Amino acid sequence: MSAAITAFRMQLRLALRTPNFWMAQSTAPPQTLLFLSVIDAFDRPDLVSHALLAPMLISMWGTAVWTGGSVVRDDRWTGRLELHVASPTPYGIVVTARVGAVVLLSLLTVPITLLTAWATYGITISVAHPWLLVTVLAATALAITATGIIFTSMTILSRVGNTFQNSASYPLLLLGGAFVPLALLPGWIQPLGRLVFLSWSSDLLRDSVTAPVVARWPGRLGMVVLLGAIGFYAGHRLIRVIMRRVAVTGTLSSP
Amino acid sequence: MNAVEVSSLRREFPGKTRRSAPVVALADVDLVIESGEIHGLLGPNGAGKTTLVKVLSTILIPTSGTARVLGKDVVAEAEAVRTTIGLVFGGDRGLYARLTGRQNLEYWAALYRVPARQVTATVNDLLDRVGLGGRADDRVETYSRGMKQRLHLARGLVAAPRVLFLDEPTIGLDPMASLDFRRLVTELRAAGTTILLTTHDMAEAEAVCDRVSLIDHGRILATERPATLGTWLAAFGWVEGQHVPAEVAHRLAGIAGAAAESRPDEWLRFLPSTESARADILRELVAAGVTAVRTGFPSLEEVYVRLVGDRGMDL
Repeated sequence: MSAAITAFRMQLRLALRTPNFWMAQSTAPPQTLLFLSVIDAFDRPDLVSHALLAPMLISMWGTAVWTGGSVVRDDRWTGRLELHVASPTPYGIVVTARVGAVVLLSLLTVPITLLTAWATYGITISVAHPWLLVTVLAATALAITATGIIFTSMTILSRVGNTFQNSASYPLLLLGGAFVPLALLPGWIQPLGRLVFLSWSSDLLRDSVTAPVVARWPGRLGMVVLLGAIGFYAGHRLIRVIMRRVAVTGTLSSP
Repeated sequence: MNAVEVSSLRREFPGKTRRSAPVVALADVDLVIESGEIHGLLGPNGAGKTTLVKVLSTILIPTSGTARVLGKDVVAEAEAVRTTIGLVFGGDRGLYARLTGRQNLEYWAALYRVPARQVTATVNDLLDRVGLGGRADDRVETYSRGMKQRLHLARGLVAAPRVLFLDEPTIGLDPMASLDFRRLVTELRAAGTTILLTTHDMAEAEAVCDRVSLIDHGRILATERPATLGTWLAAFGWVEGQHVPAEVAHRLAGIAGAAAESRPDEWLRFLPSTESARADILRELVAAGVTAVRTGFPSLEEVYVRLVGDRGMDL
C-alpha cells in the first residue's frame, strides 16, 4: 500500500511538470467551443449538458490513455522499466497508482470546460443532483483508471500498443456515449455499448445534471463499478502476461 | 549457503530473421559466488555480462539451466529473489530527471518496501554516503553524469540488499568518484553484502574483487582470484630487451611463437607462449650482448587480452 501511495504522489508531481499532461488538458477548451457552437447553431439549449460532457470525458480518457501510456513508454526508454521489474513491488500496482494519479488530475477538465462555456457563450449550469454527479464522476475516474491499464499495458508491446491506443480509443468513446447518448446510435450497436462502462457513466452524468428524478441510479452506478472492476482485473492479467512475455523474448528494454 | 549459484545457464535471443540462427548470449554458464564475496565479471562488449546480471535479477528468463540467488530460483521464486537484491546499471539512465535526488530515492525506497518511518533516515544516509547530501533537493536533470551515477548507486542500496548486482557502475565517474566507489564497495564488503560487479576496468577489478571471472561469447573462460589469474598465466610473462639488434629480434621472434612488440625507448617486448621459451629468450638476449633486460608478469588486463584475444571493436 505504501508503494502505491508513494507512486501515486510521485506521479502527481511528475505529471504537473510534464508537457504531455497539459497538452491533454489543452484539448478541452477547443472541444467545448466546437460542441457548443453546434448546439448554438441549431438552437438546442436542452443539449448543453451533452455538449459539456463530451469534452470532459474525452479529456479524462485521453489523459488516462496518453499520459498513462507515457508512464510505461518513458520508463521503458529511460531504462527504468527493467529496474521496476527487478523490484519487489509488482509493476501492475505501480502503473495503477500512477495512471490513477493522472486521471485524478484530469478532473481539472471539469472546471476548465465549465469556465470555457461561461467565457465563450455565457453558459452557466445548474446541477439537479450534485452529490450524485460527484459520486458518478468519482466512479468514472476509477473505472477509467482501471480500463486505462489495459491500454497502458499494451504500450509495453510498443508498435502494437500505439496502434491499439489509436484505433481503440475512438470506438470506445463512441460506444461509451461520450459524443452522443448511446440511445441515439443504431439499435444493433446499443447492446455492444452496454458492455462499455462509459455508456453507463455518461448517461448517469447527464441525468444527474438535468433529470428531475434519476431512475435506478444505484444499479446503473453498480454497472460502472462492475465493468470498471472487470477492466481492472483484465488489465492486471494483461500486464502479468505481457511482462512474462517480454522477459522470455528479452524485449523489455526495447521492442 | 552460496549467494549465487548458476548451473548450465543458457540464454538465447532470436536471430535477426526467422531463418537465422538464434544468438547465444549465455552458453551453459556455471558460476558460484560465495556469500560475502565481491565477484568481478570481466569481458568485452557483447560477452554476456549484462545478460547474466539481468537473468540473476529476474529481468530475463533463461532459455535453459538454473540460477539461484540465496537459494531461491530466479524464475520459480522471482518475487522472493527481488526482496534480497539490489541492481545498478551503468550510465545516467534510469532516474526520474524531473524529480529531485531525494524524491527519486524515496520512490524506490517505497517500491523496495522500506518501512515508511525509516525512509527519511535511510535516504539521508545514502545521499550523504554518495556525496549528494548538498544537492539532494535539486532536480536530477541539473546533475552531472557522475552525480547521476552516484544517485544510481544510492538507489541500488536503498533496501540494504544482501546481494548487489553492479553492471558497469563506474561509467561516467571521474577518478576521484571511482575511488569513492571503491571505498563504498569495501564498506559493503565489511557489512557482508555479496556483490557481482561487471566492469571493463581491470584496475577496479583488481582493487575490489575477491575473485574474477572472465567471460566471452557467453562462456566463462576462467574464475580465479585477481592475483592468481596473473600468476596462472605466468608462462605468458614477458621479456623485454633494450637496443636489441634486428637480426637477434628476428631470430627470437621465432622461438615458441614469441611475438615481439616495440615499446618506448627502443625496448622490445617478447611474449613467449611457454615458460621454457621465456628462459630461452632470456639466454639468447644475454648471449647476444643485450645488457638491458627485464621480465615481468601480465597484469589482469593482459591476462584478459590473452584469454579473450585482441578482438578490438569486433563483437
